[in-house]
Amino acid sequence: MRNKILLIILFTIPFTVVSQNCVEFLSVQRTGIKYPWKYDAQSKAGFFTAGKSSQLNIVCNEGKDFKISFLASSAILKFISISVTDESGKEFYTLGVSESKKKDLDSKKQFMLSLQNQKVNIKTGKKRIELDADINKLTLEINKYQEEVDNATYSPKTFFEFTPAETVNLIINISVNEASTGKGCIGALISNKKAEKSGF
Amino acid sequence: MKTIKRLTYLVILMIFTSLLIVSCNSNSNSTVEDKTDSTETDLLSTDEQIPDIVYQIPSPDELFSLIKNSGCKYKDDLLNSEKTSYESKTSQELNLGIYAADLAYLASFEKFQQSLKYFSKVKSMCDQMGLSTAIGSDMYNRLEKNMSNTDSLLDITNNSYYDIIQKLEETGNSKSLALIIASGWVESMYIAVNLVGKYSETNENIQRIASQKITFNNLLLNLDKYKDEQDVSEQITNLTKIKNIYEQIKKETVEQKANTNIDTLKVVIGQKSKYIFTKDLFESFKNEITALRNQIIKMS
Repeated sequence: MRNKILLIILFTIPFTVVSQNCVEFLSVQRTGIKYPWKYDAQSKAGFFTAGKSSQLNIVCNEGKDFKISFLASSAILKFISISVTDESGKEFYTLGVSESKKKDLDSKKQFMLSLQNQKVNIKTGKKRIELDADINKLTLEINKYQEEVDNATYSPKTFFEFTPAETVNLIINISVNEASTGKGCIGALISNKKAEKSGF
Repeated sequence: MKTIKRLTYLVILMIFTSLLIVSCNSNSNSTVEDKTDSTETDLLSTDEQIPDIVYQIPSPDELFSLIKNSGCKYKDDLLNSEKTSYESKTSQELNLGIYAADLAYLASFEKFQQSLKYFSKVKSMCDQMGLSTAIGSDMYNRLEKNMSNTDSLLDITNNSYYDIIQKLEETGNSKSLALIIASGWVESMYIAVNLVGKYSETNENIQRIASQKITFNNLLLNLDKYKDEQDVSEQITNLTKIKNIYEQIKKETVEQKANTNIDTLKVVIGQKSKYIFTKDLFESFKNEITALRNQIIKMS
């Protein structure tokens, strides 16, 4: 029995030793920021499990350019949604497919089906021309939406760069889908630099 | 006897495996330099879950760099004396914030010799508060060796600030962190109101002080999480007068002139605005922030 306990303790040692906390994770990343960008102390990383969501409020001063890079553990990577909004809810950035976008795409596809069904019954005439025009227009819209959804799913842009025209409070909403079986760290690495003005 | 031998081998094997994994892990950390835009990292975490809502505020050097860029001149009578000592835990926490802001001010204005003194003060206060590992002695040596290099001075002082934050977060001292950040903000504003010079509603630095209303809101909301603790609730009460002044400062949108030079490739957030920060309100703000700052530095 004593040997069994000893074995259990021994097997847990390596995994305890390599455990790293999410705060340390940011301190490693901050060394990679290159001039003229500078680490912003508002950066934050935290531990997330399935269904967990968190809201990070950051102040972005006028006169600076900002860059927010998002980092996540691979175990939860496919299950995270991130958005950056202002206090009014206006969205400036999203990572992952937004639910509203998915719903819009589905409803457009449904509408397309109904138009194609109508086409079967209307063979000629002005109505048919209008119907073809509607289908063409809708096809373009669906393709555009599909491309956006695919990009968000398979090759998401993981950073967001901007200039505040005034000092603003931005809200970074991060959540991990309930379907996630893993858990891990998600970090918002914020950097800033003196705002550049174009021209002479 | 056989079992003991086997166990000994097993122990050696496990220690070796641990070392191997740790060394691999630290290698992967050192190669992330150019991966700040990546989303994929492999970590095991021992952290508690992140809070539902987090309120952050910029470090003091952010404000000083903007003020310095606007042409304000350095004044040396605005610092808390580095010779003062603090005994109670709350006074240590609050004055660590004050000294951290003083250090950021000195570094922003490239005051090398004084930066060294205040760096020592911040370090000794960290040691006193049990945060001795937050700032290593090598940092002081690095600072001493780079005494004429502005970038190094800023880099070292800023990194020490981030390290203090990290240490407090790691050790679960979020309440102390909230107090340190709050007093750091008070000292930054005290220095700012005394640097801007003659009042003018359109003075960009006076506008900047007004715009810190947003930072102040986050600061209050962050303190509010610990309002059940007496030392925090006292500070919230002390900040009430500042809150009242900020509530009176309104904002109006400024229309962009047609010939304004705008880089169209940039994502611009928000709309240029102007704060209605009257002379009376500015004077009240200056008085209140001075009173609050003096109250903190006179604590024992």
